[in-house]
Amino acid sequence: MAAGLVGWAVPALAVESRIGGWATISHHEGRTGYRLNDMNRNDNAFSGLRINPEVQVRLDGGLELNAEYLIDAGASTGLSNTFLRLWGEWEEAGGQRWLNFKVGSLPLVFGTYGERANQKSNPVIGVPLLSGYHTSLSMQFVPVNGDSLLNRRGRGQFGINYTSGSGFKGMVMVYEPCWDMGLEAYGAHGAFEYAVALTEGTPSAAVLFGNETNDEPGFVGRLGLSNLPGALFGARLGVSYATGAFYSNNVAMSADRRNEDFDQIVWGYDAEYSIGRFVVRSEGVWNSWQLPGNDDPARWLPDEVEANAFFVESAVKLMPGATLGARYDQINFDEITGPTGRTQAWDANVRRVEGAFSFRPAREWEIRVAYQNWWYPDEPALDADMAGFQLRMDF
Amino acid sequence: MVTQYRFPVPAVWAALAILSITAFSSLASAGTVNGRINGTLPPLRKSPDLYGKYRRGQPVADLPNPLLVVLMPADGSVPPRLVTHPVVDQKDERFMPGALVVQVGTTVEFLNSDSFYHNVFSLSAPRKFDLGRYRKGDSRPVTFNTPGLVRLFCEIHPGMLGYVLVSPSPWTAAASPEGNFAITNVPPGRYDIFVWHEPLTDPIRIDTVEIGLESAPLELTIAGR
Repeated sequence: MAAGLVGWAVPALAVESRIGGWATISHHEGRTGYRLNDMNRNDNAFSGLRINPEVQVRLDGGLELNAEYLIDAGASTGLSNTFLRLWGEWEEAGGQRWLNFKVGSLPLVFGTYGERANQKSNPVIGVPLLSGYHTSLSMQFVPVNGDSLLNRRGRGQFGINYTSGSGFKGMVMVYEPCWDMGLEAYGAHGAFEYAVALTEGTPSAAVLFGNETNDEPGFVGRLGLSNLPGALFGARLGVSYATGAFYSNNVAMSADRRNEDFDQIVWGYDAEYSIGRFVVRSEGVWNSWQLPGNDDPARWLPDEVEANAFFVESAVKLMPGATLGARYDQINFDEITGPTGRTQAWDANVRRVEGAFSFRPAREWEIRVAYQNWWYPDEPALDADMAGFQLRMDF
Repeated sequence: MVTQYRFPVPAVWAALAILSITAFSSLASAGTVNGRINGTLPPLRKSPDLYGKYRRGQPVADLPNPLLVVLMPADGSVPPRLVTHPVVDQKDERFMPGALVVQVGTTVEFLNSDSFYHNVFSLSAPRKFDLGRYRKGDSRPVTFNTPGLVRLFCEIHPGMLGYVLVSPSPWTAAASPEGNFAITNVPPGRYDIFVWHEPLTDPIRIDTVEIGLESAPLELTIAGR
């Protein structure tokens, strides 16, 4: 949430409200690199114009109602609603810091990137690959066979259909921008912090076009440590877990298969250490998607596909208002073997490095320049890079 | 009539500081100025607080941060330099006090009393600084050499906001929640009275008064605008 806000109150009702948000204007060079940053609806951290108004209404008793509405000029439907997020929050239930609830469209519980996805605390402009890179596995189509999956390696960003024509982007491991409907309990006690949520859908297959396309229940949780004693004081550590069916309701399965039989299972870690003007973070995931496996050579498909990813990012403040940031990302996909002996990683392994310099002349204004380089160790033809400039305003 | 006032620019202040020691060397013949400020503040256009705790038409007594009072010699002479060592604490994700007035040249210690990191910074023109992250019990000094208003933030906790008003004058006070204030060691003379409160960017002059060794308490009113 942005901090610069308009405030008013109606004391008789003990209501406090605020309206605020952020806006960015960006320019980029490097079309392919830009497209690789696309989210599900072609909304993009480097999009030419983004506006995200936020409304927060706080009632007595810690009850809070929130809404935010991301407008992105790069979205596939033009300058229209990319997301409307509504959620209620009951903070310090019974006066206890360790018990809080959220209901509605939930910010991602997995890991800690969701907390700082607001770019102000993002050391670069882009989204980590594990939270934004589209694999070649679709939530809307089952691969015709393993070969059709292998033939789409590196194309998840541009739409997946395992037969012909176009399709929707492939699944992201832990898709941050797309919040699921659900109920969350969270809190902190001593050095422990924790959050558990029951959602519709899973982190890789959340809301599409503003609607839930997956009614199956999912579970997400994180257990963390912070404010540790001694030399570990600046550390924050956590493990996360999520599971749930990922196929959309409309996916056609054979008669003996049901969509809800196939889960995403994902484990993750997050680690942060900061001191003085320096912070370093890392997050990683081990992810598997269960598939309707098949031994028929013509329709062969493994029972699951796996992938793992991590990133390391760091930021150092050079002087008041000036920060240098960098992030290294990578995703590796496990190999699968077909009946003909063809063995290959089921998607193209990818790496990315991004560096950024940010300057804030005032608290509400920020200028960023960033450079990204993408490379695919096994598919160099897919390599790309891009540069971006961004002006951000909090209001 | 309420008028905006800007403190002297730094270069002028630095040059005049040398003269100040002789100009006000007789603090022994000084008294205490007591007063009370009443009134309703102008409507707030922008709240920096996370939950908009500053409200429209808010009475002085309900201010979340203290109202600050500064006496400046009306004849333009330069006040003396008095040494103080104030502390701004960070406790329960708040700056305490939320507003502090110090004289030019004062070093303020920023203490962290919370059991987690804070990172105080300011991008205000009179004093830009970033203290980095430091733990409970540690403090960091910042010296304020330029008059003006310095907004304090914490990089980690966006709801934290504080103010340091850097004044050329040593005759300053933070008013109580009821609007009462007391300023000690004020030599007799004619003074402009300035007050500052959120969300002003500069103090405003609300009156000019004659102060003797034993003056009656001042009754001051901020006119709502």
